[in-house]
Amino acid sequence: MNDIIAVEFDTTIYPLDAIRRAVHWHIGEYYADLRIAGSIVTLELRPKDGTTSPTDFESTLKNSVLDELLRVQVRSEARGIHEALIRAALDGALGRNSNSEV
Amino acid sequence: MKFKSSKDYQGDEYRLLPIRFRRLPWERDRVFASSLSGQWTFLTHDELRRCIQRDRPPQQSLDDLESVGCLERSPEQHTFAPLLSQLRTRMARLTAGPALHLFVVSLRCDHSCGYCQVSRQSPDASRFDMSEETAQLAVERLFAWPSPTLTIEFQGGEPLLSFARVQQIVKSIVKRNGMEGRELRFVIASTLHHLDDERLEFCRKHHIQLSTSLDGPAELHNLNRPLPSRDSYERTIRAIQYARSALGHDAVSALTTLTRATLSKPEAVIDEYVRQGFSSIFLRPLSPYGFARRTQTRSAYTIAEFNEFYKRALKYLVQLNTVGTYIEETYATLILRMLLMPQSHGYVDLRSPTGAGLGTIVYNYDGKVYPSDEARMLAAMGDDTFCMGTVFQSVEDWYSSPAMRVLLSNGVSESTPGCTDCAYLPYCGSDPIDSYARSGEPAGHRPSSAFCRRHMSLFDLLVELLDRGDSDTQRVLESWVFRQPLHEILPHAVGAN
Repeated sequence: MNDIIAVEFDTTIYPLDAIRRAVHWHIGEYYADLRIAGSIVTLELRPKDGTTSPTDFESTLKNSVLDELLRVQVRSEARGIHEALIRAALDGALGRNSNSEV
Repeated sequence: MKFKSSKDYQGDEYRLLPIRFRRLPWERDRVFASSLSGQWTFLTHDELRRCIQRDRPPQQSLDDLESVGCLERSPEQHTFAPLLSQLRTRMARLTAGPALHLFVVSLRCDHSCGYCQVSRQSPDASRFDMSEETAQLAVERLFAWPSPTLTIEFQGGEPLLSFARVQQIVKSIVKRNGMEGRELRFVIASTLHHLDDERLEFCRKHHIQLSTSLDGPAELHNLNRPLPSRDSYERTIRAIQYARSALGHDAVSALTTLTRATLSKPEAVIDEYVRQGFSSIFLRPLSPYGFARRTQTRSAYTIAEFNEFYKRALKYLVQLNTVGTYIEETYATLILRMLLMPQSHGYVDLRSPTGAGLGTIVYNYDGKVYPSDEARMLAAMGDDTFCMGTVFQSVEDWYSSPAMRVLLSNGVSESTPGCTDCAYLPYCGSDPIDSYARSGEPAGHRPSSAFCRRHMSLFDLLVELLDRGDSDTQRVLESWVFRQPLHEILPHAVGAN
């Protein structure tokens, strides 16, 4: 049984960062190989010993990439305020006045 | 903190704040979404997507996300005060320094438990006792941090076999605290088999709590914790009753260590705790250290097996509570509190930055200092990677040690791949020492780590019960969190009082 899973993504739709982050979740059970040709990324996952791919794994993987795409969007929009809030909280914990602007 | 004026937001109906989310394993088109502070809500994946992408976002979803701190719609009215307060509380632990100080006064022990997590020594091997000088230096280091509360726990081996050292340390700390004014809590982790009137009187005088091991009914306890006399269970039960009669019922708590023999008997273990009058039980998997590693073919099990055991145990605990017996699972209660109450917890195993070294310090019998008991166990196995130094050095030296550098660079979940986007991050922690012990890497691949698989399963289980558990189950879980009398939340519970 050939358990290698190959999925293509168009990086004009799915940022490479989102694909990489999604793949990271699965590298405990799979060897991952990413190939880039133009705007197309081909992702190949080969199961490690003892791993059996669930029948709907390809769909799960695509959902993971879609989820990462949303996270990229949240991160992009909220990064500034995230950092400012953490800085302000740390200043507060250290007893310093915060001049952070959010 | 300053706020930008509203004109900066023209054209935007709202601003996204950091959102973490996870598809619910039991309903893949819904998500659990959490904010920086750990407040959370359920919504459908499509609702979340529409809010993030500003694609006709449903009003109710925007309301829900705003109410838990995942977005803001009115900068003039919005306040970050509650969120900042919760973040500050979490960070304040960093400046207070370790509050939990473990003194390993001796490695001697008369038990020969197959799963023992330390290198215990025979009862007459007094060279494995902490010296008076080492103890005194450890006490001085303990006060080097400003933590307003200090928990001092005595461990072993069997600390009651070196009780003179326990007495010296307690007296020395109490004397010094006359000037310091810290809130002190003393705990002795012991089999209790060596208690006598004199020792109990000392414990009573200094409000020392006792924590013992009870692995289940006689057959299971004696199997796990053998003594040459084969009466470990009987002696433990007698000692618990003896200690309670002198110190009060609540001064004695118990921990259970789960071996393979336990996995098929969660009900028997829980029934034993009820029979002995305990109102809580802490179900923890075996750690891969010490004798536990050497005997792992007999004792060990996979995390998947533990997770199945835990689900069955939790179900039985809920069942007991619904018929009037109050008994909670300690770890579930801790996590439920984090989910349902805004204040931060202090449990060192579920912290980011890691509680190792930042929340806990271990003073070993030989003067070496470790950031956690697990680090000491590794050292007992011949791997001193996480030794911070000795009591002869300053705490500043400890914090600039290679061990602490490894912990600090690998012990922050917010910057760790696999954790940084996890919806359960606000309630979870980082444990680089466990990762190192299991995989050889202090960071490792988090999603496939034993720590992550155990906690994901636990969070999912509890969140699922909050989402779609029956009303009795949800009320039992609430009773654990809010410590409400059972009859107030579950009037029909038999025998509730």
